[in-house]
Amino acid sequence: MATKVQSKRFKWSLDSSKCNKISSVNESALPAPPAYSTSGILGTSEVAKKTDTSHLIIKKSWEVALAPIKQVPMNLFIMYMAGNSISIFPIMMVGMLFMRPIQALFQLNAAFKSVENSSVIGQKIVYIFGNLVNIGLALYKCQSMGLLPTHSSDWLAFVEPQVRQEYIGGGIMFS
Amino acid sequence: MLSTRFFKYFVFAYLFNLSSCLYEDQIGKFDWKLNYVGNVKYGIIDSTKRVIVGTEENVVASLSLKNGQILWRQVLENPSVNQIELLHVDKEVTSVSGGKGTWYVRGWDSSSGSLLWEWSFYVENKQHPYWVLSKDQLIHIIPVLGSHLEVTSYDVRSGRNNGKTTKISTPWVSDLSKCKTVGVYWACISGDDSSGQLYYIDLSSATNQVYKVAIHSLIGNPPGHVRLQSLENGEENLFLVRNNVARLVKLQPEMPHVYPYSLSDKAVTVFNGDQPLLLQTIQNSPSKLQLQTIELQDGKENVFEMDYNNEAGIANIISAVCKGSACRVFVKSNDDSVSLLQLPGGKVSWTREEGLSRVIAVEFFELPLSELDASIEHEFDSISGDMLSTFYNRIASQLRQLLVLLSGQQGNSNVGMVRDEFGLHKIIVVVTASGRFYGLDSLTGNIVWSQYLKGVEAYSVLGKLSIPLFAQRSARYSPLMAQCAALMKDKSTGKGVMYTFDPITGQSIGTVERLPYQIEQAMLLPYEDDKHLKGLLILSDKYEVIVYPSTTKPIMLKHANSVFLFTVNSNSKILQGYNLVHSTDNALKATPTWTLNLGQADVISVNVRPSSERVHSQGRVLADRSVLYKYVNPNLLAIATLMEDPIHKQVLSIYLVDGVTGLIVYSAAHKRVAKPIHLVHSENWLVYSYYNARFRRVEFAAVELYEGPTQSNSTSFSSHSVSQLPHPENQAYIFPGTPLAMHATMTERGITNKHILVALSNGAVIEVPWAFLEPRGPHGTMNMEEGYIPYIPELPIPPEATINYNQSIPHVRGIQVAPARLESTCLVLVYGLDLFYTRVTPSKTFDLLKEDFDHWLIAIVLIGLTGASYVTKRLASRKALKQAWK
Repeated sequence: MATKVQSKRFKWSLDSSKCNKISSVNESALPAPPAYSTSGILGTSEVAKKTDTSHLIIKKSWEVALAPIKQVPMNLFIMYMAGNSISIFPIMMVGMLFMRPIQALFQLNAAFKSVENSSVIGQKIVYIFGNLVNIGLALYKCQSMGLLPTHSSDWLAFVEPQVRQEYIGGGIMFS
Repeated sequence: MLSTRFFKYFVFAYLFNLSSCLYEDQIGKFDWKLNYVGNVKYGIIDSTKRVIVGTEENVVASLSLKNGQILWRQVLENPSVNQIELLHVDKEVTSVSGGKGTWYVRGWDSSSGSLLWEWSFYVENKQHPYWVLSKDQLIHIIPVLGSHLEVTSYDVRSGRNNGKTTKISTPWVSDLSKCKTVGVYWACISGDDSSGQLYYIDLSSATNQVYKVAIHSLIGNPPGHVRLQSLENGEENLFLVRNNVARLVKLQPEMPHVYPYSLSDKAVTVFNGDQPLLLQTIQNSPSKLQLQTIELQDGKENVFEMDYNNEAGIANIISAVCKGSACRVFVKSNDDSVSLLQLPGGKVSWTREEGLSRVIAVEFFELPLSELDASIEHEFDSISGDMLSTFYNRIASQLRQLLVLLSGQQGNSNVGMVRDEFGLHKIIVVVTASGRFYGLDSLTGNIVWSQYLKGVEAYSVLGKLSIPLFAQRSARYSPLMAQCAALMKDKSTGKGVMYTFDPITGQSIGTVERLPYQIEQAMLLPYEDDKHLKGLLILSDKYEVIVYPSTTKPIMLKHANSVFLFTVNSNSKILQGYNLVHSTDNALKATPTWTLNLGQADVISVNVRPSSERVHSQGRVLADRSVLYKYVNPNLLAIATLMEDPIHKQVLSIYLVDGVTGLIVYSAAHKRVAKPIHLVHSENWLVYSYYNARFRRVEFAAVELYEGPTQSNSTSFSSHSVSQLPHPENQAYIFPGTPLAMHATMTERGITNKHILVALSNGAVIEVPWAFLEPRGPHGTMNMEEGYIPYIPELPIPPEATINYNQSIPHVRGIQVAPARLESTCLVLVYGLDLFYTRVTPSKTFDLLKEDFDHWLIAIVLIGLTGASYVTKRLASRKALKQAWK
């Protein structure tokens, strides 16, 4: 298999690093083009070959991890545009703001599935953090819309009437 | 500015529209009205068709002789000041009514009741005058004791008088109770026994001749007290009564004629054609009645015996008419009911319960469960909870249900006096001033039972008659009867009388108890004994405490330190609070704990919140979404007093006093204020109405008490733990009407908004939402979003707010409400001359489907949709199958 690949490569590629006639002749005669280094080519291509996939995986995982945080400015803009009135569209927005990070948190492992073979604990933490920030934003929105039961008036309906300790009776004297 | 004003009115109108409205086809559906004429004072049988009556309610009316229905009714001025003094029936009906120097003379068409003519006049002399109507001349007589008579005559139709007042010297008039008008004569006796003289003046003649006869020359000289009595419609006849034997004397010029019959003083004269007859009742046995007729000319006597079932007994014959041997006798009973008796058949044609025109106490009672429902309830009663017997009970009751369903009797169960699903069917116990107890069916207004108590009298509380009713046990505890107690006083001794009865059937429980002491005050204990009976705590005039029935005494002793009592002495103007802590097993003891002296002020009203009232919301939400907690003190008394003041004429003071500790929580004073004053005390607020004499208008003032932004104790309320005084908010409004009675609506759980029912002098009963009266205080920052209605000084009275639509209720005395089991609904009985019952729904019927709710449409749509979904499912599967085969 390897030889086959080798032969294929020989057929189509010109390996300038190989010592063939021309090159060996010219090597000493002609100076290398500027910024050309024989060893350098060999070295860099070697490195790129080795780290290519793991680097991509890490990059990809960071992309996934940072996606929620990148959404924050967008969400802020949506929040600002939606306003604080209670009507169907702002409520839908708030619903979306809540639903998306919560769904994302539930699908944590699915989100990092493409990068399963490496350890992505740091990215996961960042991802969770980003989603929590989004939930926090949604909560803040609810708060500013007055949807959070944070006031004592919101719990008024559950206040039981006071039990009376004394009973009184009487009135104007009968005559 | 104009636009904001307009906007505010729009908001008001909108909210009122929300509150209540009735469609034309709903008239009489939830409400009923019983019309009365009042306690009959004058009754004249006009023709064979009708009897014209004048009553103590200041009403002139005509009743059909056939069935007793009101043919026409004219309600005149306020009966507390104005009374009918003369009713004369000729071609037309003439009435003289009035009081305090102002007199109204009116002529009515006797068949239609329309007003033919009317004039009024005012006399300086406030003394009670005598009236004589003779030949179209209305003679007005004012006697001056020991001196003379002032006689003025007016033309009855026009009111024109001849411009002069005749003075007739009558030095023998010493006591006006011995003087009567007799036909065209004005007669007096002097002296108390047979040695006196009978004087009479013929007022129809121009000379006003005075005649004088010695009494002994008329009725002999036996010893005994002699008094003069006039007869109803007696023409020139009068009675001289001695030792309860009456002699008929016919006045005529020179020498009166004396008939030789011994009569009762309640006899009447009747004309049988031209033949005068005397008619009297001889014997009043409970079920038999004897009527005696005596022909005046020849003394022929006739006695008719008839069945007459009225334990109250006949008070007197008002009027009668005879044609040949047939007579129709219009009688009044001691319970104020009037009947028409037919002679010689001896039949009662009809009876009108006119006592119900003077209702003094009202209480609503829940009806018991139907037998079937009760059996289901009992299923869960059994304490022995073993599975087999419970299972057996369940199967048995379900079988019973099935049997009932199959036999088709379910419809009948609603007809009887049983509780309905929503608790709208109740029994209304009503007590009248005449001492009769009635049970009224709340759905129809029919009288279910009635009971008359002899020899008892109502208490007088602030000038109003009152018989307190105490609901000791409701009908909820099925095998046990409901029980209600009423307190009265003995007519002769003034000692307490207690009557306990089952409010559902009217049966008396035990006997009427004559107590050996006078009752000063009473209260219903909040604790039930093992038979679910609440005790009645009575404070006697010797300040002894008695608990009735005695079985409730141990419970009372157990809770002695949480029961408090207060009394208000309207004569000495002292409020006194008592506790019962020092009671022992042997003797209960009321220890005075506080007194409050109101000084010179007259107590107008004392109001305690109804103990059954529940407050659902414990606070008010402010604009910044914090809570202002309500000060809901169940022991708070609202007291209104009116004091004469040299500068401000009259000063109204309002006090809110804690009844347990005597702490004055709030007080306010209004200068230059006059009656009428009404209080409504509910939840944490008080609304009172008064007449502002300075601006000449009726005003409403509302006071609301708040504890503050935090609750000092969120679980229990004790009057003793006062950390700080509640914070009051108040506001006043102009009310464009004259209220006669006010009451707040009450619902089962207190979730529904509160409305204030106001009976107006024009016969309307309106609902005023509490939200309109609610003081906005510094918190109401005109923030429409928070549900505040902007303050405008004048309360509107939109016509839609009238709960009795076009059925006016004259002379309203009071309003009583009761919650239905449906949270949205409150039952209302308005009582005055008439009885009017309806339901109100202050927050609309939020817990009830509308009447026009289309059950069928919804059911059809639902079934259709379900069917369609099955069909389409099948079709879809077939299509999928076909596609798979392709």
